[in-house]
Amino acid sequence: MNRWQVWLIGLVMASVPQVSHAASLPTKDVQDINQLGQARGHASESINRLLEHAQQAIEQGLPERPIMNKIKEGLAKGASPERIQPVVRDMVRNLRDAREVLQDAASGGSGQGGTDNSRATEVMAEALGRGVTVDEVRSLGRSGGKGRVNQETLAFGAKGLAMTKEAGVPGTEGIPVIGEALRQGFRTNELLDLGREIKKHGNEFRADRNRIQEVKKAVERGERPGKIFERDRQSGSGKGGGGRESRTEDRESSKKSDHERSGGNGDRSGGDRDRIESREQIDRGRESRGSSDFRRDRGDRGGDSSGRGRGGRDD
Amino acid sequence: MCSRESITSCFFVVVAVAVFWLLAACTSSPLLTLPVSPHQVEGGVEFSLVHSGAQSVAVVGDFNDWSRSSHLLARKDGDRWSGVVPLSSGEHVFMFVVNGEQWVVPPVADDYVEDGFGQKNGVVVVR
Repeated sequence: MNRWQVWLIGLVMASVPQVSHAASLPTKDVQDINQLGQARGHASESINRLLEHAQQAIEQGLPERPIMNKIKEGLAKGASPERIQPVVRDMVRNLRDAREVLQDAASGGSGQGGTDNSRATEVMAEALGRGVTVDEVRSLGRSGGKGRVNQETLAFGAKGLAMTKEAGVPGTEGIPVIGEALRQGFRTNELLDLGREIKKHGNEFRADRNRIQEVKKAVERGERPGKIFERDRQSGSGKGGGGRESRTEDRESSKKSDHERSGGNGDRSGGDRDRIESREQIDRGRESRGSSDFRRDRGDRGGDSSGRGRGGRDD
Repeated sequence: MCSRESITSCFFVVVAVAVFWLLAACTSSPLLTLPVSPHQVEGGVEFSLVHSGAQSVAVVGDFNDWSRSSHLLARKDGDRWSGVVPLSSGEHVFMFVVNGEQWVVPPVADDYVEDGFGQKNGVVVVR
């Protein structure tokens, strides 16, 4: 082995850790984040510190997608890396806690299905980030019935519970309702619909403590959210503001929760419909344009393009 | 022959209708510019925003990496801007960006969530 070969091997070996580090995070996302950071005039060191959080997540076997998305969101909104730092740090913590509580539920507790499920982890982490505690998740798992809930339904149930808490319903009163929904075999989208409808009608639940019991009884009868809240829709009620943003209401109910907001379906009347030309597609030099291409582009990165960073796809 | 009373009442009705339409046409009257929730249409989800004085409006969210240039809305009647974005089923968080700089919380959405940076993201549910 001559001197040049030794030098070449040494060079390759020296570069190995760097390559493996860089390969861990999706290259395109890293490039996008670096470009965003540069455009905003941030030092590359501070951007790298943000990326380290995503790197940590990968090393711990956690999904990095919500973290990368949150970094992009923060930079796009003009937040400084120092401002983004605690947000992504909390996300990593929530993802870690989410995986733990899901593994607990699967291994001996209430749940079934021990396989790692990044979608469930993302949804559960969101629930934890929105104010549900680990103890409440465990309680929800028990309430849902042993062997009846899997990791995914438990995660979506927890997210539904987060919404009921945002409506001002205490966790102790929300858990039996969502737990009953789990017992009744609600699908993931139905669990979210239930939480969303309760949040949308938040005023009713705050004004009348018996209202949540009525909903629980309806769930016990096997009624789904569409039917439970059908009467309100027909009568045009829905005192949560019909989906309009309501800061006043927010402030009132924030005594119970930090995340008060009325939600719901507002006016869904139609209008002129123009397909938006995606400049991203043009920039990326794709030959074919259109929605299917755009959709595929999203899917390339994370499989499930819905709710990127939110694990929001529901069945 | 018309009585004096009926002529007077007709006059007031005509004036009231004229005032109503003048107000509706000359101002950004909420009667004509109610905010519209994002809703599913053929080919995706239609996003709309009514914003006076806007020169451009973009919808940004987790579906386009929060890019302010990816999905620009088209100006419709008056101050109303709208456009359709193809989205897959599930939840998506979004905001509007007016004139490339001003981040606007959606006035109507299926839900709202804290963004961690002191604002609210709208949530649109695609079925």
